[in-house]
Amino acid sequence: MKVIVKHEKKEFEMHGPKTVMELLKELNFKIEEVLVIDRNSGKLLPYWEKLSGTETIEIRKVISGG
Amino acid sequence: MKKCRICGKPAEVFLISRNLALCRRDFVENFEKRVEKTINKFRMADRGEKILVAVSGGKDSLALLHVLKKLGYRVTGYHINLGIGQYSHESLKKVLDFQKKEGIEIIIENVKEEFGMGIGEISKLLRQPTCSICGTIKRYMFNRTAGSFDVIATGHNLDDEAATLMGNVLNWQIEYLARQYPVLESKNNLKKKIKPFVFMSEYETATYAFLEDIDYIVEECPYATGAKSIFYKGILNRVEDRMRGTKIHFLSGFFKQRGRFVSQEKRTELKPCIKCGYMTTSNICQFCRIKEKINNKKGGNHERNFLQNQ
Repeated sequence: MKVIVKHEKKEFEMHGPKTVMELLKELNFKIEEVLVIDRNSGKLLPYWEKLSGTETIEIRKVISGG
Repeated sequence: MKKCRICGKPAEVFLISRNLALCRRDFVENFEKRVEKTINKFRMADRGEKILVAVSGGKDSLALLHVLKKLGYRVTGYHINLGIGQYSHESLKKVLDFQKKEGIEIIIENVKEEFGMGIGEISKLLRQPTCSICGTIKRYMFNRTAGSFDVIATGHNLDDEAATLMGNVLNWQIEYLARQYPVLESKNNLKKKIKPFVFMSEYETATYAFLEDIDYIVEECPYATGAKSIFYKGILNRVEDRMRGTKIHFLSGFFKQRGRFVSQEKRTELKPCIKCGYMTTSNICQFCRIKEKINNKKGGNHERNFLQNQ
């Protein structure tokens, strides 16, 4: 699947199947630190959602500040 | 798969700290109800009052303007173009697109028109921290524009407020602790200030903005890299990870105890700035001081350049 980490301006491929929770763990993100978005359906993906490996996933951080 | 606790349909959002799974529609409804509840609890504003909402182009401020309008409040947005290169261009574009889509009036002002240069250049020229200069300028311009409004609102969320509280406690900033509250009543010619998102987590405001199709700037201000507030947020998230509900308990517990700090607050007399009339602790306000310093430096530079060219 294609993974886009918007705030880091990174795009890369990852293998499925895996859950959103597993994906976040691999990328070292905590659940509520980012939104996980399925670019094709435009839906938010909660941590239990299974990813087949064909999706385009956007990871968008929620922390801002300064 | 988890089901929405309200309607039983497949959930799209899960709020860990509240152990609550919700579908898209019920999350949005629940979010808006909680914002309204906060507004009522702290008597922040009535529907007849004119509210000026500070908008940066980020998720919190645009979501706040959107939700207040949806709840039937009389809102106008206020955006400052800070003149921070691509970041400010992008922010302004998001604000203008939002204005067009939502049909809400947004007043736009520009730091470069005030000072002849952007925030970064001012900071370099005066050799002062960028975030400090930026805060002073934004506060002044926002308060100046608020003249014909009843209330001014900002999109500070639970994570912002908990991080600020942490910083204030670690440094025992009694004055700041006394002033940290979801509503500050009008005083010394300054308008009433409200923070309707004070109990909404950053994850919730980002989720709400996404589900309500609000296009906001995701990129961070380049000067915010390494900011203390982001560091404190990271620490609080790690604590929250181990002990659910810590952030909300920390903040709401403080609000109950805040009276102790208010009684210790030094009563500083404010007087009008001799140059612009803005309420300040000294003869000249910080904003006019910045203007003066820039003019002096520019004058100095012109003189130096002139002499060098002779």
